[in-house]
Amino acid sequence: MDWSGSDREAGGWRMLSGLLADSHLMPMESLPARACESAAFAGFPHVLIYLGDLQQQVLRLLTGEGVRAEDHLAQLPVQGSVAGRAFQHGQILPAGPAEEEGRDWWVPLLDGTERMGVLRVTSVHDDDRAREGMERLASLLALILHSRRESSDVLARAERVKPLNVAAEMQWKLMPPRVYADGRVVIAAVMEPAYQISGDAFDYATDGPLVHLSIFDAMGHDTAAGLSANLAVAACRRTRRQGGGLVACGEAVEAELIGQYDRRRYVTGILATLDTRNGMLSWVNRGHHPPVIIRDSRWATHLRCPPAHPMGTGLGLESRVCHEQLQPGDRVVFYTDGIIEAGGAGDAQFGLERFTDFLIRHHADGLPVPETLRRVIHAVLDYHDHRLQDDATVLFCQWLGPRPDLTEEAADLVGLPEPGRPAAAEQDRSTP
Amino acid sequence: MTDSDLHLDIVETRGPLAVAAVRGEMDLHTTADFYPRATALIDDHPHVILDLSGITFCDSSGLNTLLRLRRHADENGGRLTLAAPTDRVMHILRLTGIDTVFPLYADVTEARAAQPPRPS
Repeated sequence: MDWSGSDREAGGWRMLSGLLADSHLMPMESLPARACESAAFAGFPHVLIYLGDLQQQVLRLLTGEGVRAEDHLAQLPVQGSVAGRAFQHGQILPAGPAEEEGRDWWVPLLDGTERMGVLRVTSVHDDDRAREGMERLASLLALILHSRRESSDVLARAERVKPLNVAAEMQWKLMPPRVYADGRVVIAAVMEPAYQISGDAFDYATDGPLVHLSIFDAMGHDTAAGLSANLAVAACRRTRRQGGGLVACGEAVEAELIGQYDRRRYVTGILATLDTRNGMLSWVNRGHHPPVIIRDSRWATHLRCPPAHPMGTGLGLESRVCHEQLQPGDRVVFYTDGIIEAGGAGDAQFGLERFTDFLIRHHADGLPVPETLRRVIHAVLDYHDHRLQDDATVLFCQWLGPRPDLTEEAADLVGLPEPGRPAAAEQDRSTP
Repeated sequence: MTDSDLHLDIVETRGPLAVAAVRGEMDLHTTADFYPRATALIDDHPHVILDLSGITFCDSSGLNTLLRLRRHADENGGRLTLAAPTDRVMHILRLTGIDTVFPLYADVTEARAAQPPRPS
């Protein structure tokens, strides 16, 4: 087939417009085949969709009409595969040598900035324009996949390699995506054990120039702990969305918990708001570990704010709003017990210092933030032999500056492959 | 009885006052059995001093049990006093702000000295 420049332009357009038109009335099971059909117009005769599991340890093939697991690699590890490297670093990487039909590539699949998985794309061309086309295809497929998340069990199943407990089933629905970024902030979160959550939850939201951040830890390790966490997040969001401040949010959570559990259950947490115009972080401590600030990859310190009692205990201590002036680039880290505490009596702690050292070291290595958090949480899991006594959650927020439109730094920090940016494979393109 | 049990050893009772030592791990599993034993003690002696020096582990459920016992004592016209918390227990009390809601003493002798005079 001959491809002139204008043919390719038209083919690229046809790929995207075809998928957009299909997207309205397409069941999930048709997407793998439809993606192939549309992508062929742009010089991509084969496309496979791989999705990361909840723990981001494996990438699994999304099957459907015309795409059967037995015809392809059904599962790839994130650690130790080229596909995994594309996923971890947010880079388009060659999946094999050039063949007659073209060459295969691994392309990161990002919903906004959340890493969903990777595409394996066969491309008849091997140039910047082809990479740009693959990146556009991945962006659109990610949006379509995201739009089906709430209505497809096929997608939900693809994301899990083992059964979830009831609390995990609730919490993963409750919480926002694990990565968000714009020119002002990078937010990322991880939670383990991803398949067996008890009472942890994180929440964040942008609100004009403000970014709201909260982390919760409900007492107990049962389904009721999951219910308490859901109650806490919902009560806090409701108050916030009606214009209530941080103290009011904490009080609303307390009132709901007392109403449901009559002081038999409580939730600790940090409720915070970052004003991205000036870097002022305001926060209320409801009986929780104070956040840590990491500055300049050298310096880590615990913020201080007298705690009010855990929400739901009704002990009547006064909530105080504390303030901290951030500098551009500062990272605020919220965390729960499981990150630092021992697995049980006698076990050594993973420890806060080890945790912050890990964050600082990997940041210095230039790893994308979501990948750093993935590695830190796996380090915590490994340290405890994958038997956590308590949920371990990290909510991370880096303040970049006041301008939402200056996105270059954010793109680097989250590992966003940029169309037109020379791909990492540039140097080894000549090697077959 | 195994090592992971939570013991409540009654050291002394005198009228409305009881001194008891808590020994073992305070978590979701151990506190389920512990709570009714402790409330029974409070029912008989509403002024209770708990010696916490033998607690080897305390999580949120453990803390919650202390709070529920505090309330139970209040409702019975008594008072729950904590004595000799280990570093670990003290850490969780401070972190949650709960150190300010309990009468809290470095040891049992101090706690006993601070008790209100016995009603005649």
